[in-house]
Formats: sequence, C-alpha cells, structure tokens
Amino acid sequence: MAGREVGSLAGNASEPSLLRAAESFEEFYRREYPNMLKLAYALSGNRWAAEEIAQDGFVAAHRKWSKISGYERPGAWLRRVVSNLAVSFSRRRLVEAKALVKLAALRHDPLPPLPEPDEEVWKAVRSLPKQQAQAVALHYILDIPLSEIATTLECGESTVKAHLYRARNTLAERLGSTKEGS
Amino acid sequence: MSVEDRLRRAAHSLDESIAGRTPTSLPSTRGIAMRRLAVAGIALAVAALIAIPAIRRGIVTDIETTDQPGQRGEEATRSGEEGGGGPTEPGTRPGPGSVSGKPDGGQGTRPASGSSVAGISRDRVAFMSNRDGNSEIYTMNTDGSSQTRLTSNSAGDGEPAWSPSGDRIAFASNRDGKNAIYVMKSDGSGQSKLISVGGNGVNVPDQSFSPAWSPDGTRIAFVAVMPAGPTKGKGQIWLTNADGSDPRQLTFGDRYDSRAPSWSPDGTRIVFARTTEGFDFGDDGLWVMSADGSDMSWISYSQGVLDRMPAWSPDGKQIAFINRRRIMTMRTDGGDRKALTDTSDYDAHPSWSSDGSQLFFDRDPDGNYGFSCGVTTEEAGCPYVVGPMPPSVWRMNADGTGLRTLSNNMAGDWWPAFGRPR
Repeated sequence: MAGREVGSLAGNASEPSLLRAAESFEEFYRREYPNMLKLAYALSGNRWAAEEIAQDGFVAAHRKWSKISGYERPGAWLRRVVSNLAVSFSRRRLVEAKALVKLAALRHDPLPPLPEPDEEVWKAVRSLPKQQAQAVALHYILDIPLSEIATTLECGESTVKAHLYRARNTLAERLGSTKEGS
Repeated sequence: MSVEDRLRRAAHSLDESIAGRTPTSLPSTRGIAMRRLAVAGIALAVAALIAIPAIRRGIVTDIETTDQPGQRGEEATRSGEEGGGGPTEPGTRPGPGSVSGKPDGGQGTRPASGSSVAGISRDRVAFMSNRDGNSEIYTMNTDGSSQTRLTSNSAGDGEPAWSPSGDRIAFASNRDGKNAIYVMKSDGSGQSKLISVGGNGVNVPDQSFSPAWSPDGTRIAFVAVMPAGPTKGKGQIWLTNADGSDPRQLTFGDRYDSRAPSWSPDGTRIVFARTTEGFDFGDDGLWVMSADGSDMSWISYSQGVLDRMPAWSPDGKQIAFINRRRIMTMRTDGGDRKALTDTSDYDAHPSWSSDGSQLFFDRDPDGNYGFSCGVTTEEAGCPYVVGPMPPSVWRMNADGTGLRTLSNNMAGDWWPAFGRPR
C-alpha cells in the first residue's frame, strides 16, 4: 500500500493538525452533504454513483482543508469540484460509466429514482453546455444568490444570468414548456 | 407548466429523493467517507514529506497544486521561476527530480530502475501532457528531470509505447482527422503513420490507438474502434507487423469491447481488458489469448469490479492492472491479487520498468484521464474532460513502496510508458 511505509510518520508529525482539521471539517461535511448529494445526482444523472461523487468532493476538500477552510466561501470551492465531477461523470464513455456504476452499487444503496417528469427535466439539463447545466443546478437546487453561483463558476454575475437565460430557453424548447417565469 | 416551475418541482423531487441520506443517518456511508478521509490525511502527510525539499528551495510540486480553482496559473508561474533541470523544451518545466536532493524524495527507498551509482541512466519515460494546450508526447528521466517534447502540432498525440530496442515510439494521433497509429524515432524525428485507413487490402477501422510492441519488436498490437454501425464505439484488438504490413483482427464479437493489449515477455500471449454489452459482469475483465488470437482465457476474478489496463511484468509472472482506482498486481493465472496503491484518486496506466523493479502510472484526482480511448475522442465517444485537478505521473517500487510524483507542472501529465532509448 502506498501509504503504509509512512503511516507512522503521519501519525506522529501530522496528527495534531489533522485532528483539528477533521473537527471543523466535520461541521462543514454535515452542512454541505445534502446539497452536494443533490448536485451530484442532478448533474450526473446517476442514482448509484451520486454519493460516490459527492464524497469524492469532500475527500478532495479535506485534502486541501487547511487552505479551503480559510476561504471566504469554502462551499463555493466544494460546489465547483462536485459539479465538475458530476458533469465529468455524465460525459464519460458508457463503458467506464457503467463500470463505475457497478463499483458504486457495491458501496451504496442507490438513491430512489425521481418521478419521470422530473427526471426528464434533469436529463435535459445535463444535455446543456457544461456551465449552463451547472448554473441551472446551482440556482434551482441550492437556491443560492447569483453572486454565489458566479463565485462557484468563476465568472461574472452577468455571465451567470446569460447562462440561465439561454438554458431556460433551450429547456423550454426541449421540454415543450413555456418560458414564463424566466 | 413553465420551465421555471418544472425546474423548481424537479429540484423539490431531489430534496425528497435524498431525504434521510445525511451523514449522521448513514453510518456505513459515513464510515467509508471517514476511512477515505484517513487515507487522504495520510496522503497529505506523504505529500508534505515529499514536498519539503522542494518547498525549501521555493519549488511547488504537483502534489500541492490541486488548489482553489483560479490559482493554478499563479503557481505555475512560481514553479516556473526555478531552473535546475536538464535541457527542456519551451513550455516544459524542470522535473522535481532535478531539484530534489534524493531520488525518492527522501523516503529512503531504492533508486530508480536503471539508475547507476553515478546517476547516469539511459532509461526514459514517455508520457502525454496537455501543458501546451493539447495532448503531446514528452519524455523524461525516471526521476522526472529533463523533460523533452517529442511531438508538436495542433492535433492530439498520445498513448506512447516504446519499441523494445528503445529506438522508436509508437503512438496514437488524430493529425489526419482520425485516431491512427504512428511511429517515430525516440528523439521525435521521422513521424509516420503506420497503417493507412483502408490500406494494405485490409479495412482497419479508422479509430486506432493504444499500440503495444511485441517483445521482439517485429509486431504491434493495437485497439481499433468501430466508428459506425451496430458495434460503434466497441474496440477490438488488432495486430500488424511493425512496418504496418499485414494488419489483421485478433478479437471478434459484436457484444465485446476489447482494449489495452499488453504482451507477455516471451511474445506468445497478449493480455487485454474486455467488457460485454449489457454488463452482466460474468466474465468481463482481463483476458489472455495467444498472439494469433486463439486460446482465449479469462483470468480476472474481480468479483464485479472491472479489472482494466493490464501490463505484463518483464519476468512474465505478474500482471499489473487497475481496479477501482487502484494499481494492483496479480499472477498471470489470476491469483494473488494485491493492491499497490489506495487513495481517493484514480490511478491508471501502469507501466513496468524493464527490470520489473518499478511501476510508473498516472494519478488523477478527477478520474477523467483513466480511459483508453484515443487522443481525441469525441468521435470515439469518450472525450477527455479537464477537471479542476489535473493528472500527474507517478513512480513506485513494484511492491508499492517509494511512491513519488514525477510531474510538477500545472497541466495534466498522464499515460507513462517506460523505455530505454538508444
């Protein structure tokens, strides 16, 4: 195992800081987990792997926790990672995706399927360009301000507005809905 | 119903779907997460230990560059301020081996394969990198130093494989619009397409990649993916003479997708990864066949999680492969399975040193590069997606100790291939 030979070193030299990080990280994990799970589910479209994706985001966050915890919005970093992981997952080659599905199925119970009309909505969202899909998911699932979405996607608020505008137009066409309310 | 209303209702469905899926109410899930966090913590400590010599000299290695999105350019500049490596091409950065005081980052492990006492080695590692904006083939010393670019064009070049004699490198490129196998000298000169589509009287599918030289250097196995028809996207193993003559298909079956050939050191057999349409996982995983395509046998007893990307060891006794993100080894009969790595990242593309003492591989926090599907792959159906954290090339001893990264640039480095150029 890669870490075996340095396990004792990690236990001695890094344990205090590791424990401190884990303590505050735990709160972050509890608060953000449901939202990241929804984000992963919607953007990956995979009810078997959503938890895997969400947890991958948290593992990545934990690796950088000493820095991320100092950010003004550590959640934005996490949302970006999870939304990227989820989009990447949905775009992978079918063979690989199914292999991962199998892997995920070994670890977790799948999330329950969504009602068909709602699954249709998320499927249409996943067919959008990446940043449009992410903007829609962040806006409707997490219900966060445009400024937060802009921070997460590393773009301006006007760009977020444009993403949402175009996404709603496209979705209205593909879903046969009206654009009312947009 | 307006699209706005549908989106809000769909979001509400997600709320109901995950109800109860909180960390506190899923102890088993939480346990997995905590175990992985512990592993990540250890990896963090390893990273810190490895990075200390470099940090002292002002170098930021790849290990600590998976940072807040938007900061990578800044750190690239920082690392680029240091010289100290061997001769480099424009756009490359000195490898960490050129600035580390010890060949293994101070971990006290044995030196790199082929390294002499005087530190002079002929061994090189070819790999893919997108540091110049698209995938190109580079080579470097086995400690990551002296990185040199071999290909340079606006198309994608990748999936390098050294000839056994070390004088040539086969690779995949889409410079003519489709993924095809090319061969060049080990210094990057003399690049030429191995097989013209539809040439030689054989209709080789025009999406070909993952070349693998036979140990005697006379033949090259590769993967060809059907570009259209009912088997679109499915790969088959092909074989050609090293001069491109006599291409022939070794594996068949519309339901099968075969990838990643690797030769036994005696040249009589080829191991490859196969999946089956429908994914019943009954006999998916690694298969071995004779070099003429006969006598196929399934060697992968992986209990449902696919084994992929096999690499036959130089002594012929083991096969390195990946399973569930890990680099693993097993005997050629499928027994004695061992995991050599186990992190939260995706480890892939193992490549043995010629003496079998070392394994090179890539590690990708996002898992986007762990696929054998050609250098550009929109048409083959599997695009590389650049995630927030790029992959890097790593090296370890064949028992999993002595792990260290060989990459220190902010772009992605992946698909290492060991070679001994002459």
